[in-house]
Amino acid sequence: MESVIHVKNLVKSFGKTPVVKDLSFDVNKGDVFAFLGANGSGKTTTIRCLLDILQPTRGSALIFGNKFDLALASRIGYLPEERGLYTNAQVMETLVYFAQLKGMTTADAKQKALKYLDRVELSAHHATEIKKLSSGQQQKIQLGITLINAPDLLILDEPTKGLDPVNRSLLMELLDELNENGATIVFVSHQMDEVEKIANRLVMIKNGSQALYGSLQEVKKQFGTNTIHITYQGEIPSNDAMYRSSSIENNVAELTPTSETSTNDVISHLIQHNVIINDFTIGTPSLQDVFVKVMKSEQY
Amino acid sequence: MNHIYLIAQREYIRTVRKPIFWISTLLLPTFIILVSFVSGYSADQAEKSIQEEAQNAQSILLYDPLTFIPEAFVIDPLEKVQDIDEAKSKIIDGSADALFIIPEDITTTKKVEVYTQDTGVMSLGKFDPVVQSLIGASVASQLDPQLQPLIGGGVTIESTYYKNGDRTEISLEKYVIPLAAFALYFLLVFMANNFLLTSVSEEKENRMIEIMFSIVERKSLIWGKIVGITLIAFTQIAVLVSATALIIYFSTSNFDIPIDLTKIVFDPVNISLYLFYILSGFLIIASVMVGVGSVMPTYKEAQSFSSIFIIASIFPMYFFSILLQEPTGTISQIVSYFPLTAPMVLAARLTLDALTATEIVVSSALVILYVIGGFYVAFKLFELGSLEYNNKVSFDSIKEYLIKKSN
Repeated sequence: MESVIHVKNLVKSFGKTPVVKDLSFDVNKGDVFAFLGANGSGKTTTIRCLLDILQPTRGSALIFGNKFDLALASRIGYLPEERGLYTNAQVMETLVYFAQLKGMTTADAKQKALKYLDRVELSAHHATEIKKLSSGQQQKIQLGITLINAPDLLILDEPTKGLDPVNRSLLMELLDELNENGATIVFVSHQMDEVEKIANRLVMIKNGSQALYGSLQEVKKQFGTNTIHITYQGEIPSNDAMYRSSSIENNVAELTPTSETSTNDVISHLIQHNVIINDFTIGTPSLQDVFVKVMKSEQY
Repeated sequence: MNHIYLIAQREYIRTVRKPIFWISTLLLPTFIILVSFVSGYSADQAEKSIQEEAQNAQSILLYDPLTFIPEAFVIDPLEKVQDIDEAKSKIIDGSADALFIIPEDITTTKKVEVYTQDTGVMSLGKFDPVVQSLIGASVASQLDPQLQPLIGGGVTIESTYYKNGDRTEISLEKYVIPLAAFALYFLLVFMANNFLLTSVSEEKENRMIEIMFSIVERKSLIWGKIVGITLIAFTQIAVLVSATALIIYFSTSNFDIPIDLTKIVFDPVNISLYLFYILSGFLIIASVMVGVGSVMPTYKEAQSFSSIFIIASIFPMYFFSILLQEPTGTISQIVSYFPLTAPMVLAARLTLDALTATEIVVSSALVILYVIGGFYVAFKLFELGSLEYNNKVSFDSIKEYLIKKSN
């Protein structure tokens, strides 16, 4: 797998206060990578180190195999957490200005800006002063600044913050399109449902250190239980050497295999005992549950 | 380079299309007139002081072959001489303060010659009131109606000046270039730098700085702003020069310009030095504005803090008359080497011919160091403070950062 971002033993301290502690992770080409953590856990600092906005105290933070260089700016789209706009400027001139700064020609910049405005239903506002737009419309312009150069790598720090459900959905669609077109996306979010919808891999940090890292399934699996939730017909024995039952009532049961048995053993055993199984699931927690557990746990 | 151009272009366009820019540009002449009234008091004081200086002269020689001035009026420090050449040599060697030559045909020529020392622009016409009152008193004592036209400024005084044994020229034309240089200095240093402070602070307040950092080098961002704002200042200058030219053009019939524009001296060395002082003064204050804009969270706070530096930089204006009278005095020397005031004072002293070649070299080297040092600190403050959105950067963190960075 081609690594787009490679963070190795990254440490960043402010004075004597360490904010990022020995953090390592990789983002592969084509990933939609979620960068998770509570407020103040060091996510923004890590991103700033990646983009050379802050100098790491130790360790390395590489993009496309190199330390960030402004020559890479044309391949990257960055939407910071603290973001704004030149509110007295017009929509079109703002998009064109940033496109030019990213190395595009004026003609190309204008063409791309119009295309983007059309995509986000703002083409009628191309000559409007930004301060006259609604906050949701302004956020679309901020995103436009990030996306206008069709970047290979998108780094989005809380991209959906403050967006209404319609615009949030539009953003998700846009990110999907970009990812399908080959862009790698790294994003910070506190909306775990969004992460579950679009991310394939993640790193979760707590107090500047890595807590969890891997694919979404791998991470959730670490917190999964092997409790089987069954909807059935027939009669399930309440005491059996194959499992422990936490509840059996109204044709719904929760059974946990013993240390000597597996979920397969339990299902086979029930079928052998003429239990008709209508439906079953093996318990996996939501990312929200995982996040809360990690943040509350002293183990991480 | 392309980034600097794009940023400069944006700074320029966004500023010149604001109505407030044109209002402030056109209000500037009004402000200058107001300042002139305020400084009028200072000028009056300076004039009184010059007259006192003339009255305190130790030795004034009088060549008056026909005794137009009655003997009774020839009292100390006035001393009558017979040998005009010997008298002139005393002026040249500095052993006498002035020589008044009353010609034999004064009633027809109505002209008196004065030979005196060149002590700077303020010595222009220094002895004129003395000569006029001497002529006035003499005419009054003679009760001759034919002499009446000589009273009350009826005599033209032709002055010849000497400095260090050489004849010098003191003319208003000599001050056209310096005055233009000072106008340019004020426009660039104070007005343009205020735009720079606004620009740096707004970048931070608008929360655009972090996006910019991911695209543009910090130095390019600042230099782009400085170039854009310099162009804005030149636009203001062009507007003001055009406005002045139009006023002169339409009022030539009623307006007698006391300056012969053809006599303006374009000395390339002095012009280069003025440009150097203007540029360095602009850059020193620009570095202050970048630093202040970086460490303060809002434009409002940055503006109030920057006023401390602006007041310090215009400090020499408060004792300008001292500077004019004693351009090589202790105060003038001190403010010549203080970073915020050096360029303005050095330019003023250059106008007054009060800078030696050595001083020019030493002070220029020092001014270059101030500019480099100013920008070194400004860029460090920009690195340290540009992402501090909500808090002022403390003096302790600045000290710690600068020490750490320089180690």
